[in-house]
This record gives sequence, C-alpha cells and structure tokens, in this order.
Amino acid sequence: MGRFLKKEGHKDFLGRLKEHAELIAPVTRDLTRFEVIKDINDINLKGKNPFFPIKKYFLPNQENLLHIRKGLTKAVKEHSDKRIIFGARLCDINALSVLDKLFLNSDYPDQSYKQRRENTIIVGVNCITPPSEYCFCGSMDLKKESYDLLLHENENDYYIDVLTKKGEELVKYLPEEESDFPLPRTDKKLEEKNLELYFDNQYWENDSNLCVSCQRCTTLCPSCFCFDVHDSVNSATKNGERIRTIDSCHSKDFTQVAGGHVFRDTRLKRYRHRVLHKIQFFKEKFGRSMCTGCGRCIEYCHSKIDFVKTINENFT
Amino acid sequence: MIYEAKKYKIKDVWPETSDNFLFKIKTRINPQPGQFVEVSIPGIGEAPISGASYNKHELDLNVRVVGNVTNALINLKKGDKVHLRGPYGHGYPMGDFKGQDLILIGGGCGVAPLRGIIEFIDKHRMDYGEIHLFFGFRTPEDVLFKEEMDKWSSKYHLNLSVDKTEGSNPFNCPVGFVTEILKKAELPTHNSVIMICGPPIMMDKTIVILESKGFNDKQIWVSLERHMKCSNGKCGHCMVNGKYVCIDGPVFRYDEVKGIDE
Amino acid sequence: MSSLPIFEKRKPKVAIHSITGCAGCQLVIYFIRDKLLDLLGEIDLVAAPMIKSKNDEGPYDICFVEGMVANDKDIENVKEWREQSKFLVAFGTCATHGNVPGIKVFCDEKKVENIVYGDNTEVLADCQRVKPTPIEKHVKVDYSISGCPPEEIEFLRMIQHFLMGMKPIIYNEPVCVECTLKENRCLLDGGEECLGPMIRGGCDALCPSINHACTGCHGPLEDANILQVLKLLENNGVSKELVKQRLQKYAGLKFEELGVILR
Repeated sequence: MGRFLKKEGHKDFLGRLKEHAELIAPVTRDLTRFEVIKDINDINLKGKNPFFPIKKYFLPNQENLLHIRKGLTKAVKEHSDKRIIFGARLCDINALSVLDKLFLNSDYPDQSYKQRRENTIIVGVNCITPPSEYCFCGSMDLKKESYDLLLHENENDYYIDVLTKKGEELVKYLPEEESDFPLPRTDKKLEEKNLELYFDNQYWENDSNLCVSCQRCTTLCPSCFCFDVHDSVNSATKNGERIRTIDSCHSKDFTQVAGGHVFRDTRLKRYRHRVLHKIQFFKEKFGRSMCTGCGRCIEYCHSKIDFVKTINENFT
Repeated sequence: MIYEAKKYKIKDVWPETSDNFLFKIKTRINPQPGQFVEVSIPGIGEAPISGASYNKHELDLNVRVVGNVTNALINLKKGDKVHLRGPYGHGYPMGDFKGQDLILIGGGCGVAPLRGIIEFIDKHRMDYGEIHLFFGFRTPEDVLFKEEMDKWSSKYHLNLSVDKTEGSNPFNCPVGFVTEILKKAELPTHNSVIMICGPPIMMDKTIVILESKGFNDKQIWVSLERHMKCSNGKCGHCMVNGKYVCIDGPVFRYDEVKGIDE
Repeated sequence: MSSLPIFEKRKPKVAIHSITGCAGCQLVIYFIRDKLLDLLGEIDLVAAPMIKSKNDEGPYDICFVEGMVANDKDIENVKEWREQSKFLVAFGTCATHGNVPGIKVFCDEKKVENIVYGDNTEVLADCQRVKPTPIEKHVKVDYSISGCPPEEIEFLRMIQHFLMGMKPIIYNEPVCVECTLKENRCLLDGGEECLGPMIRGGCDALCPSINHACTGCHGPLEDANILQVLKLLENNGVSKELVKQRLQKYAGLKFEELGVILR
C-alpha cells in the first residue's frame, strides 16, 4: 500500500523528516553531494545523482574494527545515530541490497554495518528521466527493495511507495491508496553476454591502456567496498586501533601477498577483474548483478572508459 | 564481533629452519585440515596462517618469516600470547575421502598444512587406504618437521626430496624437484585422492604429471595462496575469478579452479 | 608483547641530516609541536644539527636525510651516513627525486650557474662536477618519503612502524584516491592541468582540495600510466611547454627514467 503527497505538501513532508532524525539529502554546490541538511531549501533533487553514493553512510571510508589497548584488543562499541537519507536513487538503493549480501552474510554479519542499516531510514526518489547520459540502470534489473519509502513524481503529486513499518510511521498522516510506478528507463543499456567467452578479448587491453589507476571507478561505485585492514598504535603506550579503510582492486598492491608477489600485476588484469566481478562473478554467486547501472564509473573515469560500450559493441 | 581476536598462550616455539618457526598454541581452535586462522599481534597486524596440526587442545602453526606480522611473531617466546580468530575457510573434505588412498604432495612450507592432514589421518587411520607422502624442500636445511620424518616414513609411504644439496644430505633422500620424484612413482590412480599444497609453479607442474598418469581433475585438491585480510568474504583481496579464497577455499577441487586466469 | 626487534629493545638512535636544499623538510619534523616531545621520549635523537649543538657521529639506527646531492661534500656526507646507518631514509622530494634544483639539468647549465654564482670560480667548479641528483643515485636508500615538503603524518607513521619493529608501509596510491574520497570536484575532468593520477598521494589531496591543480610535488608513482595522463592533459588544451615545466619541476629525472622526453 502506498500514500499520496500533494506537491504543495512536499516542504511540510521534508520538514517532518528533518524533525524526525538527522536528515541527509542531495545539495548542489560545485558538485551535487549528499550532505547533512540544515535548511530543507538546500535540497536539490533536480541535479545530477550525487557524486559519492550513499554507501559512505553504512561503510565509512575509514572505520575502527577493534580498539587496541596496551597491546590487547578490545571490542568496538557499535554506535550509530538515527538518520534519514532522502533523495537516494534506485541505483544506490539497490547497491545496498548488494552490500547486504556481503555485510549481512549470515555466517559473518558485520555488526556496525548492520546497526547503521537498522538505524537509517531511506526515503528514495524514483528517476523520471535519467540524471546522466551515462545511466544504464534500465538494463540492470533493479528491484523495488531496500528502501523504506520511495517517492515517484506524478504531474500533480508524489506517489509514495511504502515498504517498511519505519517508513509507514513517517507517512501515516497522508492519504492511503494503492498505486504503482514504473522503474526508471535509460537509453544506455548493457547487453547481457557471457563474458567468459570474451576473457581473452583484445578490448580489455585497449580499454585498460586508457586506465590511469586512479581508482575513481571503484571509489565512486555504490556497491564497491573492498577494504584493507591495518593497525595503528602509539608505539609507547601500545594504544590505538585496528582500522579498515576503503581499498580498490584497481590498486596494484591489492593482490600482493606477504612474500611480495602480486597476482593481478597488470592494469589489464585489474580492469578485467573489476568488470567481471561486477557483471558476472557476483551474479553467478548471488543471483544478481553487483552493478546497478549508475554509470559513475564511466562518467567520472578520467579517460571515460566505457565497459558498457565495449561489451555491447566489441564483444562479438 | 567478526573481527574480534582472542589471546592465547604460546606453549612452545622452536625454529624448524632458518626462517620457519613452529608455534604450539594452547587453544581449542582446531582447524580442519586445510583451514586457516588469522594470527595477530595487535599494533602490527594480522596474517592468515594454515593450521599444521589436528588437536583439540593445542594448535600448531608453522610461521614463515615473510612480512611484518610473521617477523614480529618469531620474536615471541614460550609463555607469550598471540591473538587468534578463526578457523576460516573450507579445508579438505576428509569425510568424503573415506575408503580411498590418499596422496599428499607438498612443497616447502606448503608441507605445513599437510602435516595437519597427517595428524587427522593418524586419528582416523582405519578410514583410509594407503597413504603416500611426497614432500619436497629446497635444500636439506629447509626440510620442515625433520623429527617427524622417521615416524611418517615408518607408517606411510614417505617420499622426501630436496631440490639441491650444498653439502651433506643427512636424509639420504633423492635430490631433484618433487615433480621428478612423482614422475617415477607408482601411484594408485583409482579410488584415490590427491592433495597438493605448495608454490603455484610447483602445483602447476605437479598437476601436469598427475594428469599424464591418468588422474582426473576431480581427484585432485589444491590449496590456493592469497592475502586474506578479513577472512569472511568481504574485503575482496583474496578473490580469484569470483571465488573468495577465504570462505570458498582455500582448498578447491581442481576442476573448480582449473585454467583460471586472473 | 615484543617490541623493537630490529633495535634490540633500546631507543633507536635517530639522526636528521641535511645536504643541499632549503631545509623545509626538517622544519616539518620540528613543527610537530604536540607530538614532538612524546616522540623524543621514544627515540634517541643523536644528531640533528639544525636544532642541536652537540651532534654525534654514527652509528645510527635511522638516518633521515633531506636535500639533494649537488656537490662533492654532499656525496661525501651521504656516503658516510649510509655507512653509519642501519636504515637510510630519503626525506622530501629533493632527497627522493632531485626536486627544483634538478631543473638545472634541463636548462643551459652555464647560464643558470652564471646567474646564481657570477664568476665565483670555486663554487662553479664544484657545481659543475656534480649534477643535482637524488640520494639514491649515490647510495642505497632504504625508504623514501617524498613531498615538498613531506607530510608530517607520513613521517610519524614511519617512525611508529620503526618503533613497532615493522618495515615501514608507505602510502603508494595516486593523489586521485584521497581527492575522490574527499568528494572534491575533479580539476582534471574540469579541463585543468592537474597531475593527480600519476603522482603519489599521501598528502590528503591538499592542493586539489583548495582548487589548485596538483603540480606533482610527491613525484610520480612507479606504476603510473604517464602516457595516458599526458594525453588527458593534451585533450584539456594544456600546452606542451607547461606540462614539460611541471614534470621537470619536482621529479624531472624520474619522469625521464619512466620514459618521458623532457629535453
């Protein structure tokens, strides 16, 4: 069941969100970014999809895994404040479903991720027109999931899709009515192909020759969160932290083992690994693509390496 | 907490070679053959190390000095403590091998996890047929578990070899790559299982020989080396073609990883 | 728990020495106000001529050397410190890459020397004998922290690792990584002459964060895809002359080694 919000009521709605918890939403300055909102008039949904995806609110770029006190480990007390993320799009939201498969894995659930997921209400917005020419989510089989509420803009009002109780609480003042909404459509589409057949294709190399290893593709990907773990302590007191920091399979050191050997020692191997993992390997294991088609890895690549184009046009 | 490591006492530690040290740790963590644990010294870091024993009360780890953590570990003494978490990964499915002959092939410190299998076999001897061991080391000085070689050779078909000697050959063992020894050996190709652990090049060459002898890929089990940082299928460092070596491996049946390229 | 295995459980003897340069790298260390005293409690600073009147000869456990080799005396010094030190650290971009003084090798050397030294034949003879070069061209360097000046945090991290008995781990990713994590608008994509993708970070993208294109003060990453970055700069309409000057500025010799034609 969903709810309807009249256009003139949307400020009131945002005000209620802001009252309820810390509100995070897109703000356009030199770039559009997710920011903590002080004034709801700062929110801009008409701009581009925010530069950095919402993953940062669940998996910070740097986080303590353990405290180290006098050379002994001490558990970290998970703590996260309640917050609302407003204005996330389905690509970023579906990427949470991907991250859930890894970080809420039933054998090894990540407690801090879990707590942040539980304490965050996601009020998404559906894209009527793609915010970027690089969007290709229309071909990525996105699901209506992993949000609490999702706003779909109609001519005179918003239809609010309600998925959870937490979400319901925020909109129960609005009239209830069953309706539906279409998933975003994009001109750019990734064709489905068995990439194993193209493992030795020349175009991996052609593309990777343009790669400058800046790691922006993985850093800005809504579903990439490979990480490194290292200890940092004061050598005198032996107090410090065991820390995880976001890492990238495009870094040369990523597959280095203690003896010094690097398994993916060329840009070609690293680029191919990323794309195969995103499009093929993850799907084989978890039944859905890891890529949600946000297009950031193409748009923000310095060389505009376009794996979608490569797969569509050159893997024949 | 999945990253929490508990501290355990080192019951004993001794050098096996100039750069390999055997740690006996008092713990109930008992990796199945082929599984590994994350060993850490808080402040320095963690390192994944395979179990080299099968024992409910103490864990043997063969530590080869290759990085910061292992370098710090070897400065610890009997009575000191290390932090452990685990065990992790899929080891060798010993239960599935019941009734079969087992062929263990190890190179260098790859012999350490195989020692864990031997201890498992010792405790379940009736479950298995003939046991063949092929252990290759660089020189006689590099031979691990020297003290145990006699015991193993009396119980099982032990084939110890060294790549070269620079002086004496106290083991009176053949000199040459383990693959050469394997080539000449008569092995049961039916109703048998092969478990290999060693450097990638040694594993590749070994498999070529095994295939020429008529073994099929489903009989062969390999253990892959990667730097597991989280060991719970998240950090991505150990991923090879979509497989997490930490949770899907480190032990794989060879047909699952045959021909994988990075 | 164990500590300091490489220094036999005593305070490591540390030296901070200097050859030709502006001395700004040393200042980075001495300006670590809040942590310097703590640090001095853990190390034995046996030689630091800039701040100490009594300075010991080696042996040193760790010897930080700033500056690049520009004359005979510099060569003599680095050779001596190398012999006396367990670990020799090239500290700052002069020491690691030759830095600004290295520009000389791309110029008409006589002209440059005359502007600076006029007809002082003694100095001229000295600087003509020795080309400005990073330390590693003369002696083995164990570790390098580049930067003009180097980052305080990189120095502290290295000291921490040494004190923990570890092999220091030095940041080895391009400037773009930290820059993107800070959610900066990309200057290179915006058409500017940013060298970020080929330059070693560790600076927390200091310059791009204030809208100033990276000029490369940490020097290039060994593994950088320089050809492609140069192409991107060309696409941005950055003049070949400006790019050349930028590459010559901090690490011209290194860029040449990596295949860029700068002469």
